Amino acid sequence: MKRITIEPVTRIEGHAKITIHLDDAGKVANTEFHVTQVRGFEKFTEGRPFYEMPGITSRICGICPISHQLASSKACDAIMAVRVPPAGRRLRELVHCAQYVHSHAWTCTNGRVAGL
Amino acid sequence: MSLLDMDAAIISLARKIDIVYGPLVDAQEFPEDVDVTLVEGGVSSQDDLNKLQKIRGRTHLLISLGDCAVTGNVPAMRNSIPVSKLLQRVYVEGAQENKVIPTDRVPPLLKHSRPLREFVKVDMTLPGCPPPSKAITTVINDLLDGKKSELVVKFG
Repeated sequence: MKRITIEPVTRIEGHAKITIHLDDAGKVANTEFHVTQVRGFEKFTEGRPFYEMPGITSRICGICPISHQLASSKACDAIMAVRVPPAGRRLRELVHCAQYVHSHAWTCTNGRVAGL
Repeated sequence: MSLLDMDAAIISLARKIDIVYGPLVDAQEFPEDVDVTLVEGGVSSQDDLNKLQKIRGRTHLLISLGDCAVTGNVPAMRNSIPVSKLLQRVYVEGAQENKVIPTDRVPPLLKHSRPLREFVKVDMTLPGCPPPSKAITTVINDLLDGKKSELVVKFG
C-alpha cells in the first residue's frame, strides 16, 4: 500500500492537498482531497449586524468578492423587505460582469500560464 | 490577486526579478538565500507557523502583505470562539452528509489566528484589504532601486 501526496495542488492557488493510495499492484485504490485551511466564516459572522455581511463575506475570495457581496446584499434586501430600484439592479449586474472580465483576464494570462 | 492587478507592469518587473517560490511557480520546497519574501495571510494553523518559521530562516527581507498578515484582520475574527465550536459549526452543523470533523492529514488549528509579527521578525509591512497593487509595485521597485519606501498605503 503506497501513498502519494500532492501538496500544494496546482489549482485554487494551492489551498488543498491530494492523497493517492496505490494498492500492491501499483494501481489506484483510493484518492482523497484534503482542504487544509478553514477560516470559519459560518461561525464568526453569527451574532453580527446583518449589514456587515457584504463587507465581511467579500473577503472570502479575492477572485469573486463581488459575487459574495451581491449575495449578501440580496440577503440584506430580503431581511429588510426592500426592492432595489432598476438603476441599482443594473449597476449590480454591471459590476458583476466586471468581475467576470477581471477573473477571466487573470485566469487566461496568469492562471493558466502559471498553473494556478 | 492584488499582486497580479499590476497588469502589464508585471512584464517589465519580471525582467528584473526571479520568482523562486509561491503560487506562480512550481517549487515544492522554499529555497535558501531568498532576497525578499512577501507573506500574506495570518498564522492560523500549525502548518502556517511551520511554513512561516522556515521562510523567516531562509529569506533576508520579510514583508507582511495585506491586513491578515499585518493585523490579523478577518481570519482573526474567529479568535473569541473555541476551536471545537468553530469546527463543529463548519463540519457538522454545516454539512448535509458525512458530518465528521476532519483530523487526518489536515493541519490542526491554533487557538487563535494571529499576525506574522507575533511569531517572527517582520522587516516591512504592506497593509490593506486588499493592499493596492500600486503600493506593491512601488515597494518592489523601491527595493530594486535600493531605497526603503515611505508609507505607501493611506487608509480611507
